[in-house]
Amino acid sequence: MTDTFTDDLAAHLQARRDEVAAATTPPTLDALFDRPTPLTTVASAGHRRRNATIALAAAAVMLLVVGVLALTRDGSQRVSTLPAGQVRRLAGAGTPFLLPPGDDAKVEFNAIPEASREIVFPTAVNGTLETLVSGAAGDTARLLTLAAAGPRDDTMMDPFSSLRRSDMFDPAVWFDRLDTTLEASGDQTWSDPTGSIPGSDRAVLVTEPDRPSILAIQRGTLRIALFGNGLTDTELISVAASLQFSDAAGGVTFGDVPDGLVPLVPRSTRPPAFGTGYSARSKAASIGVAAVDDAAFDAAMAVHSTGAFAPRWTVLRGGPDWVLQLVDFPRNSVGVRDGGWVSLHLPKGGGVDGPVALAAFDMIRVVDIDTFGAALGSGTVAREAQVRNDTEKTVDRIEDWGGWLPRLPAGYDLEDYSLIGSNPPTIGGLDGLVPLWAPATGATLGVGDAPSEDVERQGPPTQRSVRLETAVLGGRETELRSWPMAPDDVYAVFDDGEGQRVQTVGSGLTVDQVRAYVDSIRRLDDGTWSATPPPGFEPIPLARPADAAATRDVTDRNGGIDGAELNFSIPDSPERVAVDVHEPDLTVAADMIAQFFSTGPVERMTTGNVTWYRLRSTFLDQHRVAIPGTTTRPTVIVASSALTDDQLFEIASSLRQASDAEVEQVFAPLLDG
Amino acid sequence: MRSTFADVYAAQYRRTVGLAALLVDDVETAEEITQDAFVALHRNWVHVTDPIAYLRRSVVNGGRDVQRRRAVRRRTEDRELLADDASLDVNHLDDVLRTLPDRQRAAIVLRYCEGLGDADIAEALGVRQPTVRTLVRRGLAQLRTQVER
Repeated sequence: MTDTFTDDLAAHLQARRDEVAAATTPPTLDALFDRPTPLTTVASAGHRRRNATIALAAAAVMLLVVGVLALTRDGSQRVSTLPAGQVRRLAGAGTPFLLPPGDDAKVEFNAIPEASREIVFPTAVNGTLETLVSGAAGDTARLLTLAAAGPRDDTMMDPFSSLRRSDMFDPAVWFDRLDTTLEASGDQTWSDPTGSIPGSDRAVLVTEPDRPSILAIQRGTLRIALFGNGLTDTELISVAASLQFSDAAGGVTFGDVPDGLVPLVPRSTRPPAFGTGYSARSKAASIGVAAVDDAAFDAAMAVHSTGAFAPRWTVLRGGPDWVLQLVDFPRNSVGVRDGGWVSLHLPKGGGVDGPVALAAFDMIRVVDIDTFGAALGSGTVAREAQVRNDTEKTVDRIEDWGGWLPRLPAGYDLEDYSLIGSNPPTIGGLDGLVPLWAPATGATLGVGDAPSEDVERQGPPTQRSVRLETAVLGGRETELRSWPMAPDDVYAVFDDGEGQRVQTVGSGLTVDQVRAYVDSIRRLDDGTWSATPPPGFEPIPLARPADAAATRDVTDRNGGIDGAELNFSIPDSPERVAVDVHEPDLTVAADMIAQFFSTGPVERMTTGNVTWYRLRSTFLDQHRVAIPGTTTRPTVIVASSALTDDQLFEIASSLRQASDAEVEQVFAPLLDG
Repeated sequence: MRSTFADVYAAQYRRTVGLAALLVDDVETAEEITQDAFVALHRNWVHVTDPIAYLRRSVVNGGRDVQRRRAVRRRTEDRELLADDASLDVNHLDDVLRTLPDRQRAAIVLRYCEGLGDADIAEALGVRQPTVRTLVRRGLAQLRTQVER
């Protein structure tokens, strides 16, 4: 192949791509989410929680149109959309899904639902959810949800992360910031009703005009959120005051609730890690169904949703087979039908008033249940084959990376894994400056790009930064700002002289340290920058001078998968230990260690000739240990709530190159299961 | 500081549609695949380490699903290629590209349009790196043979 041919090919393909791109207009985010259930097979690898404070930027009406048909297993694979194993034949074989309303629309779905790997909850949820509802037909529904979770497990989502709102109080963040005094912003009002809630250690009631209030409660390591629609704050506190605490899983249940409130669907604890999802859709309409016994999370997500609006629902039909229609998006309705939790998204242009929507809802037919069940069964087999296939590929990757695995005592079994990747923790900034660390305090300091003002304005009020003062530092006009979530972490924002806004990034700094550092930043003749580190600061391990252009480019390149997180069980403990192993590479090591340093105050330790680093989250009571990698050894980070630093270091330092057979043996529980 | 979903959406939507169009030929389907990919990305936002790689893999998988459904339709309905309905103008190189098997085509597009290396393509396609090299080599050979024919 000649270079000319490939050059021409590349130029041609890029031109075609750019031609299409230029002629394309992105829909608004609301429009994006106000569309039928997607069919795309999602990427299954590379998921990992990295950042607890991520601004979800838009409405998630999509949650209304996603469903899961969960499986009821009784030895052989058997599927039922009805509770307690009842299967009711609703129509003859081969009948397609019909979704009228009347003559206005008739949409044919595939006779056999397509297997979908859409996963509502891509990993296990550590917590419980229960949603109560009341209201007669025609009323606005009153809704109340109790979400509860125990200590955070880094490998699991909590129910709050699924319900967090981009533009209002986020209980997940509040629970994570017990060491910080948060302040309300915008029109929010905060109060501390702890004294009104027996058994609570700490509580906050957040109210905002035209929004449902949220009451977050902490009791030991139990984290609870109460929120709903149509309840007064007094009622919310009254419900909280009657909560029943226990040592059982979930740890809390409703006591007294306002008259009429009954469960929308049964309370649910941890759902399956992977729900094999099935949905049917046409061009403009979609239906999703979940077995009602497993639908608490689907129901709570649907009726409360996330995003930039406060969902209100009209009761189309009262319980026990509730049907609710979204007031602001009446093409969406949810409810219980034939033992399934149904999300219905009607076609555009069709009638969407209450009677039509209810008729459409009731005409959903889970037809040809045997064929449907068979399809689901084969879909499950396909899903399991996919999981196995993914696992085998991961084994291959680990072998390709050199087979690095920890040596663990007997009883530590691999429970699950995820593929992980690294990216520079700071994007952009000023060429030449080195990210800094103060070993005595764990404080960190660096410079990165500031988000554009437009992006800031899109953010939720609780996450918009506040300008404290303006000063001239280093000859540049500089704003000193802080975030409502971390008011003590003052940072400086200024222009680099070429129109790029940059800011200091760090934690544990005093205002004077930030001022002095920014005042010392100078541009050198070669275009790079230099600065005087505050006393006691030194470059973080493996730190390199910033390469602003390269990191600004990072969104245009694939950071890629460069490691695996392996989660092992711990004997006689419900907790687990997570072992992140990244391929031997200095850039990867630098990025991972920089990221480690950005997650909390780090201490440097030395054992023998090994230098390692540790940090601890007091609230999570989680210890983390990192050993930086080299060109020949992987970077390893080990975390657990149940083990001591010494135990974690022992695991981290036990990393050795296992044979292919040993790697496969470690993965055997997943491959054989 | 990690980009917000809105940032990624604003920055990547058009480019992702352009990439998808090279995999499925028509812009409408490309937009649908892209929108599905962004919806999935939003739902998994807190877990996704690399949104761009996630989108890329979603689009490749979405493109493969579309081609698979089209293949079924071609077999059962004995119709012309759906690609004939494409809203894009076509030329000989595009026609030849369409004749490649899905994975070869995706590998070629990711290598020569997106400029990705073996590791990144392997991640997007869910295959090992040696497989990527094989796909690219065979795809290029077929392209060249047919273009020069």
